[in-house]
Amino acid sequence: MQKKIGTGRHFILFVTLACLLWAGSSQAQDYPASPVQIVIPYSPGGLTDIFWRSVSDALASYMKGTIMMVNKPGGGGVVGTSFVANAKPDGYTLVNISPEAVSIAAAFTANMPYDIEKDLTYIAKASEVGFGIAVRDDSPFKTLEELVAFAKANPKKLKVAGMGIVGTPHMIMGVFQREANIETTYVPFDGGSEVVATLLGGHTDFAVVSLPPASPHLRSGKLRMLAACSPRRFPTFPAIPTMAEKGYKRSSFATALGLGGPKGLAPAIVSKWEEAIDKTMKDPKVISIVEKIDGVVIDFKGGEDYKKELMANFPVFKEIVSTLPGKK
Amino acid sequence: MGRIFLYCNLFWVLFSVITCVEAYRLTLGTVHEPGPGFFPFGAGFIMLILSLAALLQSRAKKQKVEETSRQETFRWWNILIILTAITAYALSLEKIGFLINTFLFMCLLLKVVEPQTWKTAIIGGLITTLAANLVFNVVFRTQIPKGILGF
Amino acid sequence: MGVFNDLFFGFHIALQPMNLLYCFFGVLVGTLVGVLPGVGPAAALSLLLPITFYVPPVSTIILLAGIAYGAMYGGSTTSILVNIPGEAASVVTCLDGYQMARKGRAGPALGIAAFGSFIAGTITIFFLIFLAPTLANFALKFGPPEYFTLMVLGLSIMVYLARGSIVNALIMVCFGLILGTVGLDPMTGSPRFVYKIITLMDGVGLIQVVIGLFGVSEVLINVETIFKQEIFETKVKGLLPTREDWRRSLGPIGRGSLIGFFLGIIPGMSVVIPTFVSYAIEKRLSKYPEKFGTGMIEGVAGPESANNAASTGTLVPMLSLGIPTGAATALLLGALMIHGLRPGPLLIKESPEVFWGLVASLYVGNAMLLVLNLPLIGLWVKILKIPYHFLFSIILLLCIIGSYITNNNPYDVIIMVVFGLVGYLMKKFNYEAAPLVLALVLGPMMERAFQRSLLLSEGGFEIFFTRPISASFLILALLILLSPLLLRKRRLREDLRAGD
Repeated sequence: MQKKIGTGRHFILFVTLACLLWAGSSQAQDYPASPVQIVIPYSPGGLTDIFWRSVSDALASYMKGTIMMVNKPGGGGVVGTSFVANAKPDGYTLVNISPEAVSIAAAFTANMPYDIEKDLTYIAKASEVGFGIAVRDDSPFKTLEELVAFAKANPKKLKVAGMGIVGTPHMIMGVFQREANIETTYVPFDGGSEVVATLLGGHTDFAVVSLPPASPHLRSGKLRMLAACSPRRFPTFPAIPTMAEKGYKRSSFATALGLGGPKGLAPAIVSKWEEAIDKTMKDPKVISIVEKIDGVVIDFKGGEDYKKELMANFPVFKEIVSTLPGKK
Repeated sequence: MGRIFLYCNLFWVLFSVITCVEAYRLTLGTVHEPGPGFFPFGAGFIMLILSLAALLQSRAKKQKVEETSRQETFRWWNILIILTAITAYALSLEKIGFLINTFLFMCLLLKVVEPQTWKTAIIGGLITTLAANLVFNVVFRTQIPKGILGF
Repeated sequence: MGVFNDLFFGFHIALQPMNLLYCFFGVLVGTLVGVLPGVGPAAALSLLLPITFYVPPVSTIILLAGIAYGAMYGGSTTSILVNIPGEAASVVTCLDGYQMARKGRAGPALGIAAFGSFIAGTITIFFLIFLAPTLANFALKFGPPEYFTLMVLGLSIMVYLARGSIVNALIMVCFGLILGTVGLDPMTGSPRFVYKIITLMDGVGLIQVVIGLFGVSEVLINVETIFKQEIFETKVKGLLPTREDWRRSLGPIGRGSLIGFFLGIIPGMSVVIPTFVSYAIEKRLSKYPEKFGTGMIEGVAGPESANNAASTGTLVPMLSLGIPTGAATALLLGALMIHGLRPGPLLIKESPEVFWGLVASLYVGNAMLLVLNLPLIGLWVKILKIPYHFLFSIILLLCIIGSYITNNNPYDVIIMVVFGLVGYLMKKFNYEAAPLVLALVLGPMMERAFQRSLLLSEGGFEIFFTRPISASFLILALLILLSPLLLRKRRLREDLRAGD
């Protein structure tokens, strides 16, 4: 395909020029030249893991590259996120960004291994993962209003089970208690399924449940969901009103799944990913897979907006944490 | 030789005291509303009592110590070498990569700890490295870092 | 009977050639996974997850369940051969299994482990079929107070674990409890004993500690002197368990199956605990308790059966309520969900072929594993013939890789090194590792259960006594702790009477 150049010297010149042009061309055009590592800072099999693995094929094809998922669990997401925050900003090491490892973790401790404002590049938000306020079928509370009324009359009497302390359910309850002016006792458990098991066994009065473990019981009627903590209604449970619809706008938030990287990522690389994620979350094949995962609501946002959203709740989280025993 | 047990128990006494102090700093709370330091303090306190009791016991009677046969040389340096080698392996793994690290590690162990000929060490190291790579990186794709070799 | 019809239907599905193939592939991969320390069913399952997208749901479940089972079988292999627990649940097998291997009896150890697992699996599958829904509902009654008192009961049984000095064993228990608090406090999120080391935020890491305490320290002990005598007896005394072995093992296998299964059905119960309980009970019931730890086959038969029985047990809450217990069942759950199947009360109704196909293939898988593992015993025993001056380096490499792989974190290997040293020192100064491991597992669970119970009762302790299940555990624990005293009193009385 190359024109035959006359003398050898001209040939060398031509090749050198071509190489220089090639090397000098914008990095982003050849990016990604090798597999990109996306770190999932949680154990394999969790919701985050399943989500990213479900979309990775489509995402890779939109990025025109290969993606490798790596699990680096620990510290509620902090270990894996810290690994990426300290990695080279060449665009080949990225990480899942969820509030647990960012705004919530920072609210709990000042000794973060990375500064959530400065040490991370926020690329995009892909989806939200909602929770729900649920009771057992034999509970006296048929609506959220009844529960709030009882809680107002009996401060600290109602026990609510939720997943973890450094996590979104705890924060949701914190904000909800402030918005509705009630006091309940939050009992943390280790995983979404434990929370559901506790509620099913009647050991607490209500619970902030994650959808996947709760859904078979919601369908069978053993559990009743009073409201959805999510900006939009769940695709798999469209009959359940959101907290916002019930009048608690501030409590209607969920945890999110997004992508980020170390600080100093080239803007061209960031926008390439932003675009790819946007396309992926609009791809009908992806939508059909993702919407089957209970609790996941597709919600694309660009990097800047995602960062704003995460930081917006940060002051409230700090305030909630300050009221915990041992933190005074 | 019973003094060894004295030192052991002294160690535990020290350990439990430090634990209790650190746990105290974490806020103990009350029995009805335990704080983060409650449980570690309790365990440390029990350990303190136990180790004090053991300390007194070991001073009271001379305990028989099982002597490992000291006829052969006690090659404590092997232990040091092994532990240092593993530490070095771990710290450099993500920079240098699995293949080179494993190969060097195997050669080191085979040559130094239980001296073999250079030939055995190198061949053994090579075989093991390749086999391990096959099992872990290829079959299981467990993502052990490739490092500078890039493969 | 309707159930037999369903079972027949299930076998019809499980025995289809495609599903047989998936089952075989699953147990094969699972065995490999189990043999390699640190690589748990979670790793294998998550890697194969993408494949499951293209495979029909029933086959997926059969494949994944096969892996989980195979892993259970494989885990005991390295425990027996080289004192490295393939996963945490195989720790107890190290205690006597490895000693048997050193005496040249690795074959019978591996054999009884395989047979015990098979028998336990078969028995418990029937429990699963007939009792699943009832058991699941019973298990739901376990709230924080029940968990706490159950742990107390477990600890009281553990008093029989100690071999030598009780004081030393108790110090180890305290040490384990303290180590268990390292990390973020689950109740307040405050870091405890972390000292800004990020890796410690999730605790010291059970797998790393166990690999260090058992695997690495064993190597260190062996290399400190020139091994004039062989580490492993070269004359291998037979490959399969003898009739005498069988006679001694039948009881433990039966008891282990029951203990394992009924403990396994409790959601959130670690699979490690039933193995410890089985070991302690066998030691208590044995005529020669002081010989435990030197190579008693009961110490392998019981825990291995309990191990497998517990795995089947964890399927009870998983299938009837959709509540997983541990990483393997959590992944199975995830895989089911991706296929739009929802385990729970509706699974049997909506997708009977999945439920019954799974149950039948569990049985088929168990049988396959037995057939697969028995010939392998010959192979494993040959590995022990590799001269130790070469073998030890392979062992160490396995330890390193195993510690690293759990979290892809090199600092986990450092933790393993530390505990390798600690384990070595412990061996030199006569401190046992088993109580430490148990405390490390039980401690965090107990603390959480205790804190939660207090939150539920608003600070009062009566909650442990007013709830029937909880109260019965406490009474049982008291009885067990007092039993040596009561027995001694009785013996004293008998001696007095005999002297008259």
